Amino acid sequence: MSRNGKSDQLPVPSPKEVLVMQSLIQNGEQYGLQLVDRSAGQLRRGTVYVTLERMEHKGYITSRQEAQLPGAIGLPRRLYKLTGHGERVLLAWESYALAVTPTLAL
Amino acid sequence: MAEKIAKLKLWREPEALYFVRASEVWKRTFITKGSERIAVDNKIATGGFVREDGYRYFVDRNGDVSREKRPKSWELTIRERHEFTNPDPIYKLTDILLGSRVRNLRHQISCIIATPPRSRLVFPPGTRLRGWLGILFSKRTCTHVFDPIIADMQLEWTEAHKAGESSKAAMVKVRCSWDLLRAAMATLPISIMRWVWDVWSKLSTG
Repeated sequence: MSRNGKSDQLPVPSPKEVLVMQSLIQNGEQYGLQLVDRSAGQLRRGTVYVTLERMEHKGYITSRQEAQLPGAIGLPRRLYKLTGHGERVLLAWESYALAVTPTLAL
Repeated sequence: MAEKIAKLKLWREPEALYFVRASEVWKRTFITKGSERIAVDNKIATGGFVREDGYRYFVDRNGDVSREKRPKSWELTIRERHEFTNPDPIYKLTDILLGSRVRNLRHQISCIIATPPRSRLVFPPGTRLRGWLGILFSKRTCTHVFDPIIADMQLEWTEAHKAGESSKAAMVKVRCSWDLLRAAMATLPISIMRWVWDVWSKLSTG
């Protein structure tokens, strides 16, 4: 355990979480539907928000409601952004995956 | 056309109702007692005129008593009269083909067609469903999982309606309802676990 009480072990993000983080790091702040559209069918409209909620709970991403224009109809949409922690987790995971892949290939 | 009967020059309070009973002018005000609204009538003036049958008496905007002829049930309104005297070409054709005996029927049909559809207040889709989900799931789950799905649905539904594609709007509703169901099924185990954890922690501390 580290001094701040968090585990020193590398967090293991799921493939969907990695996909979301990669999309957010490439394209910046996005809506949920944009993430679905850019995932080429790997993310589903129904479950993407469940994944995003879990990621936000883990601290990988942060979200905010868009500013609603006067006269707009309906609920405001939510925008998602990668946090510093999420960025570090992604980089650590990618470097770990790169290191492990040649071993697995053998 | 209204006809002035008695010049009284009454001061009309905006929140009161004024009516003519016999040849007297009455004012109705409302008093709120708790949740009840009680009407109080007061006589405020005497008109000094004799009422005649077939007329409707009222206090006009100047505070005077006026009257207008009460239309009989069989009399046509101005719009109906206009439609009757200037019929659509299709009704002219029926007149030629079937004779003037169908005039009454034709008039009835034209009245039905000319009646504008009742305007109705339409809420964006998902408004009622959001209320139900708020009962079943936690506030955080609703704001982070269901609200974005409903927001996407409302956006797509509004865009489809603006483009005049009602079938697409219906499809959006169906698809997003399915998405909501899937999200609810995916969230349900976590919500149950959180609920059990909350109960457990409360019981252990209490």
